[in-house]
Formats: sequence, structure tokens, C-alpha cells
Amino acid sequence: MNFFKRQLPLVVVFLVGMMLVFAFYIPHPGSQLVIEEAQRWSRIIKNSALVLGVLSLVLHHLRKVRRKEEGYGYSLVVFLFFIPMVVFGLLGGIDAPQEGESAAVGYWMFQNIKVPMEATMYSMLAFYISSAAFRAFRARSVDATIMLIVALFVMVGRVPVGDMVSEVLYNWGLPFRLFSDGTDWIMNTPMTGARRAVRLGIALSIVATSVRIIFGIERSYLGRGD
Amino acid sequence: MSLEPGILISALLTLAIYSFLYKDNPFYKLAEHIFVGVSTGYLLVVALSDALMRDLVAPLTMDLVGSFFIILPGIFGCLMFTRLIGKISWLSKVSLAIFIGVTSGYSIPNYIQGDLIKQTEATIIPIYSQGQSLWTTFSILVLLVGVLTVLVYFFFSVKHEGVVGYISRLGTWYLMIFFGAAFGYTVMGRVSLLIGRMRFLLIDWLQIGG
Amino acid sequence: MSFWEKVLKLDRRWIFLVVAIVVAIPIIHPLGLPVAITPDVRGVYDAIENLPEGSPILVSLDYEPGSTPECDPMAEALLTHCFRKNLRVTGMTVIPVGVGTGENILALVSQKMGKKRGEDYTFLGFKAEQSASIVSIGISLQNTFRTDRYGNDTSTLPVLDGVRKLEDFAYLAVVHDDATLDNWVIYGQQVTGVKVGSLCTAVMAPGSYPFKNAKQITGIVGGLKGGSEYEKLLGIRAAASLGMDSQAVIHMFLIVIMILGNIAYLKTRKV
Repeated sequence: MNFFKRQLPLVVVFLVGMMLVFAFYIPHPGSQLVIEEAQRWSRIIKNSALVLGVLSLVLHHLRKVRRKEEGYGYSLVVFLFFIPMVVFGLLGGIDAPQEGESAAVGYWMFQNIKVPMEATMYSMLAFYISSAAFRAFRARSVDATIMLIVALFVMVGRVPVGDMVSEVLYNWGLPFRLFSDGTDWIMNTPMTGARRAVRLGIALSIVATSVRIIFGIERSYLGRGD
Repeated sequence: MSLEPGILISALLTLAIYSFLYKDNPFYKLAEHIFVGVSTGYLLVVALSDALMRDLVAPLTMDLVGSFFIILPGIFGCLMFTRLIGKISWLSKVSLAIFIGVTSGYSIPNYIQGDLIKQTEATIIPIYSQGQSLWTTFSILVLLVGVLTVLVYFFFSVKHEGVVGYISRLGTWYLMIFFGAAFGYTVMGRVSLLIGRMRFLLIDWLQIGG
Repeated sequence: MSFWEKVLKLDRRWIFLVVAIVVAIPIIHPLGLPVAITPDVRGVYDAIENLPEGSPILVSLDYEPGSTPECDPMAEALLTHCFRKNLRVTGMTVIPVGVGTGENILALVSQKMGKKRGEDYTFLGFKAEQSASIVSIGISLQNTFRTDRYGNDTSTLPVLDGVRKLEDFAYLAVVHDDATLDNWVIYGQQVTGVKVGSLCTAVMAPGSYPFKNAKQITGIVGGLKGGSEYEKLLGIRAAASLGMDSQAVIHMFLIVIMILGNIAYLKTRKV
């Protein structure tokens, strides 16, 4: 029994992982078939994981309501909107109406509840970033000063004001458009250099972690008890 | 002011979320839980209708014999749900193992080829070519120095002192340029989202401006 | 308490209020500030502009509802461009909520431009697991999506005539607010050689530059600014262009308060 619980998943990861690595380098229709089937299996299992995630959240709120825990009223609100969304979404669809058609309830709920609320939640960061810029962004050291100057330059360069000032200076005799061309150069040259180095590091980490997973050194994905 | 139900409800929920900026309150909590309910429901609808139905159920109903082998991944997909049943939750590890194996295995050659080699290829280009302007030459040099110095900075197996210390210091400055640019763009991005919501509240709901 | 100490101790809710007012004023009284075109945006625009009429283009609409203020204007401008050029547009997404955002914008623009579903455009829908979906499309589109989202057989759809896999598309435009571009480039572009353009939120834009520098993508349309540049190239003034007035004013305000905050810090530090 221990073999099925502990060793079998590691054996499966090794066999499947090595199969995919070799299939990539073998230019044969058979290996294309292997890759295609493996991706289809991966998609179908991921689909189930998606449904599982939703179920876990539903069970969490169900538990809260059953035990009448603090704030269980809000969990009832979750179900009040979850159930109609699922029922109307599955029965009536969630697609945009064609010309002359009326909007499905599922579509209406998505466009008038989820979209505006999620956009609003993300937009709140604008307030927090403004407050942080005022209170925390300090030129305490050379490094912080470089970061501050570049941030200010890019913030000017990426708005019409920067374009207008650059045009005026260009007309006055400056051989380039200061903020417009300057920001383009910062983004395409030093920023790209640093970002590329970070990308190379990330790519190496992904390859290294994948090798560790395939060879069973990294087992955290199996959870506790392993 | 527009009283069209969709716009009115969107506007009221938007204001309920923004009320958190003053302080946490029941209206915000109510709006938050409405959002959780609708989001979770929507995710389930998409997972069932777009993914499971079209990937698993439809091929089997359209052509059972030809699609027979889909039943096997379907079974492994169902095993994922055993995670919710304590005693047999270990069964889900096999499904997870297949998924992790496919993802890890196929990412190795793709990341080596599509990221490591391609990005390195783009870095090791001639610094000077016939007919190239001095500014372009300078820019290529700046980019190359940036990649190398930042890579040296992230190499923590060697102590950052002496020559290595100076090189990694330069790498730190390149990283500060990166973070500064990223901060500028992040501000731009977050403010754009706020502008979108304000345009909705003012133009679509209150019908002023535009 | 000195003036500068009071400045440093200012309740952040006053800053929130001023930010809201500063953003609102240009919306109520538009300024009509001009926008300059950058080579990054030109890279995407020119690539699509140079496509022959009737070419098939794949548009992956991979953004969440939270990013619609930034991504909807870009997606609208892109789709307007594609439909103006009578390209055959195939939409899809590799994120679950992309079904709602992507399908909606595609339906809206196609109806505005008088395009027919199935002939001029279609929406394939969502497939789970980004890398797996992209690899599958690279091998066979019809095996990955047997039907489009509306139940039509993809092997007989006029809009997909001559398209069997990813490399058969003349261009791939990825509208994203996350790292989906990485997956499209690594699992799609480098295997099939399809030309790719990135239309992304401003937060994701810096991450696209290494790909552009390595010529793995043709260009970058980043944030509301990128969207406004694309609209200018199309000769229209829509959501992105109209939002740039507020963007300019709020950026100037933030620069002022950042400098003010640093002056206050230096003054109080000396004391």
C-alpha cells in the first residue's frame, strides 16, 4: 500500500516527464502523437482541478453556515449569488447577445457584477500606490535615488505632457526628443538588459526545478505525509 | 443620472468597494461576498461548459469508439476529487503526478530552446558592424554590460568583494533602473484602471462630462 | 510640529480624495492632449497593416475583468484594425475568465463593424492549462477545438479555411494582463515561427521588452498609452485616447507629491 501512496506518484512523474523530454527531440509523427495525447490528458486533469477548487470554496462556506461561525451571514450571501450564477450560466449561457437578442441572465450578472467589481478592486491600488509614492519612496541612498529618478522620468515620458515638452525642446534645437526618445531608450536598453538577466535566471530555475521534480528530489507538490 | 438597472447596480457596488478606502464597513463586506459568489459561480460554469463538456463529454457522445481513450484521463480527472475524502485522498496524487510530469517534462526543452538559447543569442551580437551609428554601438554595449553585471550580481556563490564587488554594484544600479521603470509603468497601469472606473461613474452613471 | 512634519504625517485618506478629484477633472473637462506614436506600438500596427486582405489572424484574449479598463480599449482598437483590413479573426483564450471578457469585446466590435460570425470571425473559447493548450494548437487546431464556442465544426468553418495549426495563422496577437505571453512565445512562437504581437497592461509591458529585443515579438502595445497610440494610428479617438488626459494630470500630481515627500523627508531629517 505504501508503494501506491508514496513511490507510484514519483515513478509516474519520472516516466511521463522523461517521455515528454525525449518526444520533443524526436522528429517522428509518433512522438507528435505522444505530445498531443499527453497535453490532452493534462488539460482534462486540470479541468477537474478547476472544478475541485470551486468545490473547496463552496464546502468552506457551507461549513461556516452549518456551524453558524462568525460572519456566516456573509457566506449565505455567497450562496445567494453563486447558485443563480451557476444555474442561469449553464442553462442560458454566458455569451454576449447577438444583434436583436436580449442578454442572458448569466451574461448580465458577469458584465454588471463581476466585471465592475473586479475592475474596482484592482483600481483601488491606484490610491494605495499614490499614498506609498508620497510616504515611502525616499531617496535614502544612491540606489534609491537612481530608482526615483528613472521612475519620475518614465512617468513623464509615458504621458502626453512628456511628448509635448520633448517636442518643444526638439524644436528649440535639442537633437532628440528628450522624454519620448529617452523613455524608449531606457526601456529598450538598460531595462531590457536587467530584465533579460532576470529572465535567464528564471528560465534556469524552471529547468532546474523541473529536473528536480522529474527525478523525485522535489516532492512538495505531493503534500504532507511523503 | 442613469437608472438603467445594470448601470445602477454596477455603480452602487463600485461605491461599496470604494467605501473601504475610508474604512472597513459592512457594505464593503457585503459587496466582497457578492463578488466571491458570482466569481466562483462563473468559474464553475466555464470549467463545466467550456472545458469538461467540450474536452470530455462532447467527444464521447459524438464518436464513442474513436474517442474511447479519453475515458482514461477522465477517470484520472475524477480521481482528483478524492482529495476531499480523507481516507482515499492519496488516489489524487497519481492524477497530480501525471499533470506535473507532463508540465515539468515538456517545459525543460521548451524553456532551454525558447528562453535560454534565444535570449542568449540576442545578447551575444556583434557590438560594432559596418555602417552602424556610434549611438547604436553604445546601446548594444550598455545592454550587454547590463545582462552580464546583473548575472554577476545574482551569482551568490562567490563573495561580492573586489572586482566582483564592483561589477555586482553596477548590476545593482541596472536593477534599480529596471525597478524604477517598472514602478513608473505600474503607476501608469493602476491609474489607468482608476480612470476607467471614474469614467464609468461620471459619464455612464452620473452622465456628466465626456 | 513644523510644516514639513505635518506634511509627512498627513492622513492618507486626504491623498485618496485629492487623487480622485485630480482624475475626475479632466474627465469632466477634457483637455485633448496629443499623443506621440512610439516604435513599439508601430511594430504591432505595421505587422497587421502589411497583412494581405483575408489573412487569418489569431487573437488570444487573455485578460481578466479587473484589467478591462486597460485591455478593452486595446482589444477594441486591434479588432477594429483587423476588421477594417477584412482579416479572418479567430478569438480564443487560455484563462477561464477570458471567455467573458474576450467573447464580449469580440461580439461588440464585430457587430459594430457588421461582420458575420463563422465567415469573418469566430470565438473558439477556453482550454485549460495554458502550455498544454498552446502546444496542442501548434500540432492541430481542429483536434484541440473540434467545435467553436457556438457548436460549429472547426474543420468546415469558412473563417478557418486553410488553417490547421498555429503556424497557418498570419499573425498572433496576445492581449494579456499576466504572463501568458511567455507561454505563447516559448511553447508557440519558438516552435512554429508564427509572428506575435503583445498588447498588455502597463504592469506587464516591461516583461515583454526582452522578447521584442530578441525579435520573438514584433511590437508591444503597453497600457492605456499604447492603446491611445494605436487609436491615433487608426484615426479614432476612443476610450484610451480620452483617458490620457487624466493620465497626464495624475502623473504630474504624483511627481509633485513624490518630490514634496522627499523634500519633507530631507528637511525633517536635518532637524
